[in-house]
Amino acid sequence: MAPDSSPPGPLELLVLQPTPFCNINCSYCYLPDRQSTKQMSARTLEQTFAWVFASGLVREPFTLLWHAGEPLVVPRAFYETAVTLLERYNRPPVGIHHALQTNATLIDDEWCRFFIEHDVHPGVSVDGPAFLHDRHRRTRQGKGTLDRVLRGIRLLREHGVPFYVISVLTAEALLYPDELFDFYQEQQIPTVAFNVEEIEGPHTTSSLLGVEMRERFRRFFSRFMDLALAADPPLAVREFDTSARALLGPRYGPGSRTQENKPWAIVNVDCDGNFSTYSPELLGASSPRHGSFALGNVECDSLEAAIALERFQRLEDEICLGVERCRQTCPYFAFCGGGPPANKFFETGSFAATETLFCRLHKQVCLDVTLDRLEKPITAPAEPTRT
Amino acid sequence: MTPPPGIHFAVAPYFHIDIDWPGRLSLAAGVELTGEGPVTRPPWRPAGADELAALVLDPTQPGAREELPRCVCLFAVPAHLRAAFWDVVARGEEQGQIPADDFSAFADEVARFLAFKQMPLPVGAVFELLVSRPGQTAAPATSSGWGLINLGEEAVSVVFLSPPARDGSAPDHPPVRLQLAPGEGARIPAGLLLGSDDQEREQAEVLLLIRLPDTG
Repeated sequence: MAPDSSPPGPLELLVLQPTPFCNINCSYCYLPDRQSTKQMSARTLEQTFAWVFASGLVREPFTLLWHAGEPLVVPRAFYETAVTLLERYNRPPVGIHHALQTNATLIDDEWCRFFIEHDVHPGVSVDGPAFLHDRHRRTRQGKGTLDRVLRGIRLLREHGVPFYVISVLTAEALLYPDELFDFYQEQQIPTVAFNVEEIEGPHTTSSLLGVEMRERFRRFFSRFMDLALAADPPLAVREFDTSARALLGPRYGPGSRTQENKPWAIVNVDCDGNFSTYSPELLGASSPRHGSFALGNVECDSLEAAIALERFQRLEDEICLGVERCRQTCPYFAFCGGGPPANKFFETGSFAATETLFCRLHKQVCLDVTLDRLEKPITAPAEPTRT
Repeated sequence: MTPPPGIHFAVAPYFHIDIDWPGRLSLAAGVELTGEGPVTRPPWRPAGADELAALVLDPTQPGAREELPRCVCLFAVPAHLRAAFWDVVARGEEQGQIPADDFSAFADEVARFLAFKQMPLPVGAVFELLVSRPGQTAAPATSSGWGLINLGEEAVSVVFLSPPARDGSAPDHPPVRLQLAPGEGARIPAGLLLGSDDQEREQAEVLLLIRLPDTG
């Protein structure tokens, strides 16, 4: 590959892991260390912000996301310290969209006040009605968690905290678009994002494998979008919105990359200060060819040192090759920009791979259905059912 | 598997309904053949454990899927469809009658939902809204139903009867009464008769009967 003379970044997403611990034990979780109760120290937190803002990556507004474990098991004082440190290090200030991904089971009035006071935007992980949610999102004792999640959602609503939800779709969930839609309406959820059950980390299989799943996913998403778009007000669906933007926006061409496959657009830092780039799911993982995907530690390794690593260059070369192969072989490339490296690696063992389960469902089908919906107003109405 | 003769019940595939079958099913003493057709002979009683085992299809048994066309299949329409129906009713109250176009659009949505759930309606299926005040009986004895849906706010009971035998004698198994919660529906297998029930109710009974084409 020809050396790239442009500066790395800019940073678009900073994913910080305050702890790998999660108080629940979802069946499809990709986190290998979710039983570990380690927490990021105040010292590591400060070193992280010092590293990020000294790296030269911060050149435009970015999102700071607390994730990769249940962030709310860490005391609020930690985040109050983080807010103070951010104000200190973010000079001259750039806009920071401050977000947090939570299972909502630990949300209380104090957390809600914190979210409001510091403009922190929680995303809630909930999979729909109990028969879907509690099948996978359980405590370590095997009990369902939906009741506690709904209590958290109710508190967010009562305090006026803007939030969205992420639902993981399994093969079974694809049979229930109407029931999911009812659930979101009943819980007054204004925005939903769907993740497909991915093969990642210790979760080495998916109920969505199988050739029939593409059609089943298409039927689900098509039906769900019919309902979401007809709602008053319409229910915002991330996959539809991002697909529409991709279809209506500029095309990906040779050399262009997405946030997840572009080096240093994402920086991930674990609770020990180890940092990586590309897909957040890679942090904490390793491969025989590449070794650890962590490229350094904020305490002692600069961005320049990480970039100079041979294993970073190997990683970048292989990811670059995978993107180029996507461009050459996939008709969706212009709207997608190449699949996420983590999905390629966890599904095939190589970043040079092309199409993945994630591509087929989350990208291709969503683009197809969105295009269909965008074109609908200029097509003839469907033949009505005779009644 | 070969279930014993009689009427059988199951939750339709692709629906999730936590159902307490013993609390939902009851049996009549028998059937009387009258000039107007078979009618149930009270009193009603809960089904016993053995009877329930014969009445309710065990979906985990091999071959259960093949038996579904011969079962009364319980399903549920989503809350947004029920809300859409009551919106149509509200517009009807303003105008003095339910607008035909609105009802037709609602029926289309029901058909689309059932099609998604792999229960497509036959082409030309007819939707008929049956409303009865408390004390009245809404569900008429009929043999032409594809199915019905309880769109009301209260549970309703629906009676299923097997048709008389070829020699004209009464069937040797009793009628079965199924309680449908609000929003629930039942797909009726071919040949089964839908009977009336006169249980006391506090609110209007609102049933959407879906008939097969070209039948009354």
